[in-house]
Amino acid sequence: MLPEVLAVLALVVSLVSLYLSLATYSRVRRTARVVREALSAGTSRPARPRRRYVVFEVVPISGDLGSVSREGLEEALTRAYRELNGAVGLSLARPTLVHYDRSRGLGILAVKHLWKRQAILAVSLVREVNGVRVVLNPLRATGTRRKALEYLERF
Amino acid sequence: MPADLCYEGDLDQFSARLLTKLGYRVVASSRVSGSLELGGLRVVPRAIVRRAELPLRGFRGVRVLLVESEGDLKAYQRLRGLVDSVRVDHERLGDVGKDLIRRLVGLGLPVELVFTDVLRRVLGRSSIDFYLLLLRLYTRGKLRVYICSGAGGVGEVVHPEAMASLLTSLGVPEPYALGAVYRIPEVVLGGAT
Repeated sequence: MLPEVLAVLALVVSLVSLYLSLATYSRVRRTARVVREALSAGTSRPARPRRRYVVFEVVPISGDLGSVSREGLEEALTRAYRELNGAVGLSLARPTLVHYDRSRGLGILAVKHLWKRQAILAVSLVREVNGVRVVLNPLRATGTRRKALEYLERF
Repeated sequence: MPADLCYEGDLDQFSARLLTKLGYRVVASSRVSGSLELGGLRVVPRAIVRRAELPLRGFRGVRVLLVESEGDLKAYQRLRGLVDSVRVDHERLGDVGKDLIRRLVGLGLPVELVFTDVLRRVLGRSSIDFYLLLLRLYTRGKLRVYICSGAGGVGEVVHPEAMASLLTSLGVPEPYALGAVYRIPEVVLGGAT
């Protein structure tokens, strides 16, 4: 009788010790990962902001494309960007309308590369410029202004 | 292949041209009863159904289950094969409990997010905790999520990249955001048509 009890006891003790060792291992591993991430976050260099040029097209829904002025478009873009990302976001990204071809309704918006996605979203939110209902269609993003202009010429 | 699975506006030559210009190749709309081709744009029917209306007989298109209460996902095993995706009516549902999330994960069908709804809540300073929870589950691989425009007309349509941008702005990594815009809608369409 005694050997069986001892065997069961030994089994229970070994299972408990196995569970404790696994739990300790996972906890140590998690702590090590957290420490490693915290250390790497402090040492990584911040990305240097570069410019991106978002080429877009103004598609009028109602009204005349000729009524869409550069100033009106710039104001609408700035308003949309500020509404989405706030004044700080606007100042960090500095979206600037660097080119607008009024006759063809094609424009280039320059923005810091870290906020390119937010700029594309803001471009798509513009619904009205100078009383003309429009849809802005982002066409392409380039790394230089020259490439953006080339793309516009080919478009 | 960019697809907008919840375009609610009128479909005519102008809107088809605009949607094609924005890059869409397929649109699912509840305003058509059969598949058709409109100026290079494929339009497939879409039905948004409540649990009580299932099964839909003789319908060929995208079937979306509208979840308005936790009870709509009870015995969710029976829903497999009857619907293609799920839309959660967050406003009607109110507080979302763990049970609903567990059932959504267990069901395994893609969950539909509507761009205009998410954006309205963001711009209206309303809580978007539920959407963030869904997106977190998506990035962890527990749930599939896709985003569609929900546009009520041509004036509200958005570029697919703008939808991906909204997701990245909400903290979704870019590959996942692009997947929710391009890949998962294609999977839903493939299963539906």
